[in-house]
Amino acid sequence: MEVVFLIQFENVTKVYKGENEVVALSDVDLTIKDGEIFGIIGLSGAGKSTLVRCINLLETPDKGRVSVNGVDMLSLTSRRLREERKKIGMIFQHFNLLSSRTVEDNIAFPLELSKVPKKVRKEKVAELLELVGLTDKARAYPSQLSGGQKQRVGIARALANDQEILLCDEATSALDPQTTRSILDLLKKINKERGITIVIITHEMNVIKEICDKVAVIEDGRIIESGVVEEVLLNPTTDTAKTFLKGVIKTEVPPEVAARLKLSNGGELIQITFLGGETGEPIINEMVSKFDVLVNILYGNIDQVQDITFGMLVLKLTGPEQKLAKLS
Amino acid sequence: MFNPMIWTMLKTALLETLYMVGVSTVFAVVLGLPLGILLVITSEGHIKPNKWFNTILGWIVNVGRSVPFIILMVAIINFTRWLVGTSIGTTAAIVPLTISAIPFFARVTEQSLREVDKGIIEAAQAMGATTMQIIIKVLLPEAFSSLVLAMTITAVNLIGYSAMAGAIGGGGLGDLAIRYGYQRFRGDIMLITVIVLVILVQGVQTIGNFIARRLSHK
Repeated sequence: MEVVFLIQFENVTKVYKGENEVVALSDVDLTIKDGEIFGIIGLSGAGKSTLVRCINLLETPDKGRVSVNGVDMLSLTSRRLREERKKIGMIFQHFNLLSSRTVEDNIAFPLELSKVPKKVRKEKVAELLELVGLTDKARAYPSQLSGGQKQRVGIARALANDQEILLCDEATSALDPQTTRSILDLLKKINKERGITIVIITHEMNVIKEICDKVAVIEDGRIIESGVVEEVLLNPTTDTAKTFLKGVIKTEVPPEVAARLKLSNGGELIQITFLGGETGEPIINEMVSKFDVLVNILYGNIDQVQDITFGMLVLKLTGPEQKLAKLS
Repeated sequence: MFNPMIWTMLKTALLETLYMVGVSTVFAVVLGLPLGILLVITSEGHIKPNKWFNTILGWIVNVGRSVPFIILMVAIINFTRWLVGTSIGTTAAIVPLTISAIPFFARVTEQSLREVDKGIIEAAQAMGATTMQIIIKVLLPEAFSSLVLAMTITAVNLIGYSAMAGAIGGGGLGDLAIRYGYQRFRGDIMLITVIVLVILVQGVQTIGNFIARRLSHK
């Protein structure tokens, strides 16, 4: 069965010419499947905003090919481009709502652009308000809303034309952790219920960890690492990825703890890292029963990435010499 | 001193001023707004950037702003006569008033529109809006409150300029102040005229501010 790539980048390069030539994107290859939640993470200036804007051509690549839903975006006329853009929703870090319009009129905006008749617009807007939980704020103005509420309006607006792709440009970077959580939950819900493909640009690994299926790490305009989220999080290969992960998944023993552990005498210290289905418990039980050693948990860190558990335990094993040797 | 004749003159002059300034402001807005819009959208980094067009249009507007009003009035006498049939009187004065106000209003409009958040414009582009849709549904509504203030400032400027309309027999409060108050040494008339002008300007500005505030949802 042929897998359909919804969004595909081939050799995409973008250079900003000016006093200093800035290479924003360099030979980027990317494929995003239908229904995926794909995260792109990088530091400020790494090129992630440029990358996401190349999907709907708010930025135009100098080289390479961008295809969305099978359409070669760079070959389109202005009119066709506008039509294709209507199929791609986008939300922004600073929400970008029209301050002169109420919440419901903001959500209706894309419908007006598509010349949808008033009655149909009203129904659609009511449905979207309910989806994002803002029915009671229909007549409010953006200035009266909190950040989280504004982003919800943004999301509702981005899906007004039944778009199947949603681009999120640092959508939670201006929100506090709790609000970020609720917005991510909403995005996850939309993806599950409506099968909407979501591309998330962020500099926070937490966001990737919470909802993404796949992730690509971008640095200086290049994709340096990419893959399924669990793998990248557990086994980052590049230093950049490791730096991002530092505060998020602890798979290394902190130096102070390691020093203390070395001092404890007797027995053997082992460290196990595990991922997914295998939880630590059965292994420990097995060790105790099979090999007749005592197991002491000295340090551990267990985390959850969406539905998958993983973490690390440092165990001290004590027992007769031969038994310990057998274990190895 | 305050005989009925003065009040009649005052009333007539006031109406003449209102007529001149009112009509000129309307025309200045109608003609200056598109100019202002063009100045903004063709500027660098905006929705329809065009360096040459933008530069040339900018120059023309600058020239318009440089010509002193009193010289403009006299310089376009033939044009005025062609347009309204005469080169003297209140209606004739509307021509130079409008022409001097257009470039001014264009610049203030440009300023107001520039302040519309670029992010909002980008969002509209991401939604597939055409240039016209962006101008009408995004730029103008978002800048509306600011544009009302721009119109107010223009009107107040024109009140001042209308005083010089007396030079071509345009009438109005300024003309009254000059002819009676200055040339005929009637200090009392000059004083009253100035007071009425002050009240007029205060009134226009206050109404403008009020409307602008009501229209702003920020």
